[in-house]
Amino acid sequence: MRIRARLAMVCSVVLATIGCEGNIESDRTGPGALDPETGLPVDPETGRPVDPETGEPLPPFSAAPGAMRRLSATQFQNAVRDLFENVRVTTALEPDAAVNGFIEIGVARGTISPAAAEKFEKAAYEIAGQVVAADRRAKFVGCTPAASVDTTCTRAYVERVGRRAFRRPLSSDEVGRYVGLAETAARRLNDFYAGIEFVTAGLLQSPNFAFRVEVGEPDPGNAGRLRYTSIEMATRLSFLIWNSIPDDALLRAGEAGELVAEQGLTTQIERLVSDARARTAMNNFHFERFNLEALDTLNKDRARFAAMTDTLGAAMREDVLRTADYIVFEQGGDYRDLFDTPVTFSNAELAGLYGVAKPASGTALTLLPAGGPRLGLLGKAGFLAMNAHSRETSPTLRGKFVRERLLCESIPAPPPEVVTIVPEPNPNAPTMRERLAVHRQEASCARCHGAMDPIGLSFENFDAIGSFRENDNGHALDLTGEIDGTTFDGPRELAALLRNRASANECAVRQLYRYAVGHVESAGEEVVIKSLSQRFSAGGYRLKNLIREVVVSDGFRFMKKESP
Amino acid sequence: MSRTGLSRRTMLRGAAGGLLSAIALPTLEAMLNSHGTAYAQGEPFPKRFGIFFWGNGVRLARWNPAQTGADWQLSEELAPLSDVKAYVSVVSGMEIKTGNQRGHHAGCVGILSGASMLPQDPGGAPYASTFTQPSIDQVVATKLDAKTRFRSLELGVSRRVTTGEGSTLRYLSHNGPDNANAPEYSPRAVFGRLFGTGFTPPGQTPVVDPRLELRRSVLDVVRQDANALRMRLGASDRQRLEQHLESIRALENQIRLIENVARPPSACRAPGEPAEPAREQLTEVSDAMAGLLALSLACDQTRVFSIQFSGSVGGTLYSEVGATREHHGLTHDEPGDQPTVHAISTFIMKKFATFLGKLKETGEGTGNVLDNCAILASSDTSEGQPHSLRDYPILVAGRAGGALKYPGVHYRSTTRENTSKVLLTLLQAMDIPASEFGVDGGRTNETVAALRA
Repeated sequence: MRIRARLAMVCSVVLATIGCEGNIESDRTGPGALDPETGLPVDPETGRPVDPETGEPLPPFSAAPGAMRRLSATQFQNAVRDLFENVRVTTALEPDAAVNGFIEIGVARGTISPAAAEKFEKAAYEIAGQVVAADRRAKFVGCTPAASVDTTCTRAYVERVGRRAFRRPLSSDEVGRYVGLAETAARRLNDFYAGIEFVTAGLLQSPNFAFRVEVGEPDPGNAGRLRYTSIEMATRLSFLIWNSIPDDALLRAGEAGELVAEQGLTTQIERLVSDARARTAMNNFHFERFNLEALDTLNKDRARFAAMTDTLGAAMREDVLRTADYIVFEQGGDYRDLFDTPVTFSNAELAGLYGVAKPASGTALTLLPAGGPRLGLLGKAGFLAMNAHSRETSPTLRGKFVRERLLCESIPAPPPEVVTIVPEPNPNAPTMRERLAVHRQEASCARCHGAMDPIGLSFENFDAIGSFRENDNGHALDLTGEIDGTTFDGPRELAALLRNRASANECAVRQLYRYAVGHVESAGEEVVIKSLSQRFSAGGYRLKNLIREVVVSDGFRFMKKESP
Repeated sequence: MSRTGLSRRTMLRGAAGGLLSAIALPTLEAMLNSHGTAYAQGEPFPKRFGIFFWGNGVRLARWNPAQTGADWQLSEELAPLSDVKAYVSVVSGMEIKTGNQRGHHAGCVGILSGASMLPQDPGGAPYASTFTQPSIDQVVATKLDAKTRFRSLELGVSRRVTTGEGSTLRYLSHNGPDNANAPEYSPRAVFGRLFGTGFTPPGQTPVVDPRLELRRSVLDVVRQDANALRMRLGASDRQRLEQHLESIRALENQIRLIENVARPPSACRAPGEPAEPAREQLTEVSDAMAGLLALSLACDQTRVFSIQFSGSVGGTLYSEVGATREHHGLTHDEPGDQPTVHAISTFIMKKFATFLGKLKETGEGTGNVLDNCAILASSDTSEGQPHSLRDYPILVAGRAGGALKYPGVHYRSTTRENTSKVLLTLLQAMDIPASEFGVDGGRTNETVAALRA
């Protein structure tokens, strides 16, 4: 149970912020009627928290089932980086598959196929070979063997590296198993370091390394559910904030039982968030949130787009990631700036595409001209190119991205057996706006396309690779759009609408939460989302603070008790 | 026996393959029976099962042959198969019976597994789906349990697959829900895996290396870890761990076969390392994969394969036929009778013909590898434009060691039969004792008699 001392202070701010947006009828809930646990307004009759926007009662929190997550390819790489300084993995691991928008959700469902196990093995020996390389072994092993079989030295290595790799102390059975393995290899090859090599390869192939195993323990505060153990919380924290394994200090805190209490968590969160690894990890969050994997396989018609190169997709990706990083970490700023920031990080070719001054070298912070047509995330070539066809724009895909990735809305698949043909440009329908009118003629199409196309059409002054264009097919552009009944003119007005839209900010919260817990929130977690959203807006939309709030939230700390 | 000049012991070692044989020998004519259709000891050449899959369907009007039965003629889209026509049967008029819950997803899962897709649509997030059952290649791999070096081989040609809608669209081969076998898209990586370290070319002595035994010792420790862990996990995590254990077993088998290499069939030879074509150079990638596949089968590295030529809803840009727009978008929006979509289907068949051609030109006894293959070729929808599941485009290729009709026929169903019948026919052609295939609406206990020899 969380009692938050500072809650009283922020309550009035919460109401003020939301009140400005007209989302709360203050006469119904009253400024004093806040649930101390969640910070949400309460129903005066039941005393239960309600949705601040709708006033509907929220179901009480119920913990979601746990599911172990397999290390993603990135996490495997990061873990190796943290285990063994300057050891490199060149083996291509199996790429991870996103489910419901996140690899973190995919790895909570996936497993290790035969081909993936082969790749893990290959990578494990590549790493182990470097660990025992003549010029590095002394540093990694940490003791000098007295003979080819030196149980004391082997045991010390197994216990130390095993604890980091498994993110917990090894059981005596495990230590015995791995020491035995090392000694078998050392005897067979008459080389102490051969033992270290094989034992290292073993630790890196174990399911205890490859899976983030979480089984929980009874929650002393609530017999109906489990809580993640302190040592499990160490791993949950480090993978969320560093996208890698815990360091020694975090493991010690976990072993000491400090991470089942809010204070212990807060201490570690502060430390982890201020480490450089947190920035790389948030890049990973944004990579997944915005589906930037798609920029790796951009398939553009090179005959039409001379600016398209093999390296442009990577430049687009870097632009998105570094802009988000700049807002969150450099500036410690308002996350909503993502919608309307003039900041880009451009290399020469991207600067060319944006029409801004090229950096002297590499990639540099470059500002877009004030008042121009391009701004924010949705002005970035990454968004515009990824959500377009090889030759033509796709207002549908662009609108879909806004709905799914920025507003957390579901767009269902198109119904089977319905044929719509977006016509080629013709005298009656020369522009994309007119051509897409077919989507509104068929009722079964109009329902969903009506939610996507009118948003996407406001980006029509950016072509399929995100370059600015004055016209479509020689015809002047109409950039007006509509979102849920509100009309706007062009991307600049859309950015302002999104910035001030409660559901857009709540969506950022949902996305971080999903990423953190590895599943899409269930109805029983909705109260956590609403509560986090309240704190996010009350605190000025600071993503770093949101990370902390997510970690101490019930949703991150408790697990459903499975019936046996 | 004495006629051959080989000792009975050598014969037995050769015929028994894998575990007993310490030295790899090339297949000598003396080791074949008098018809050249089997090893002299009577053990037939191994049968292999494969899938060739592409996304976004075909143009049915130009795909289905006009004639049925034995006298069928190649249609426009099938025309590239002329050199291997005798090895191909066309099945048309059938339907996926598991319901069209979602365009492309349902077709892909239905044709490959005879079951419904598992929707993963929690609301408020992009929808996804996965398989509920193993795809047929993995059904075959499990039933054959061939103990070849690789349980199955997954190859991919176009990387432009849909990545955001779950495992169904991203991968072809599935072991179960959210449990897929990702394809390898790089010919060079495939070469390294199949013919690099760990492959003993015919006639050479396998490497004896104490490290191999130690690698198995490592996996033994990993397995003990998994067994200890299994007791602590809930049901669904335990199931995922079981797959990891299966994968560890497969890896152990692979390592064991490095030292105890089976005597490879006669056409086995190690290919040279292929050049690595640029990404999306479809012809170069596909042709390199075809060569590697043929030799991997000839060398009995695996008996089950799948080729994801392009993905379901694939966004492949077929510049080879002058397309300036990605495939999926074209199937929806190209006006008229969709000449570019038609050209793409034809191009895909040209590449399928190359795969079949490589298998056919790879000799095995007096026949060839294609004689001993059963291959299913199909797509994620019948026609891309309406996402339909009716009149499904299906090809069956290879003779399955004489179990499949040769020369091939065009079987056109007039009663919209269940596509699972073709899959059951193929299972039986692989000598797998299956009496039914599929789940719910996709279930059948009938085969397609016209396809059987």
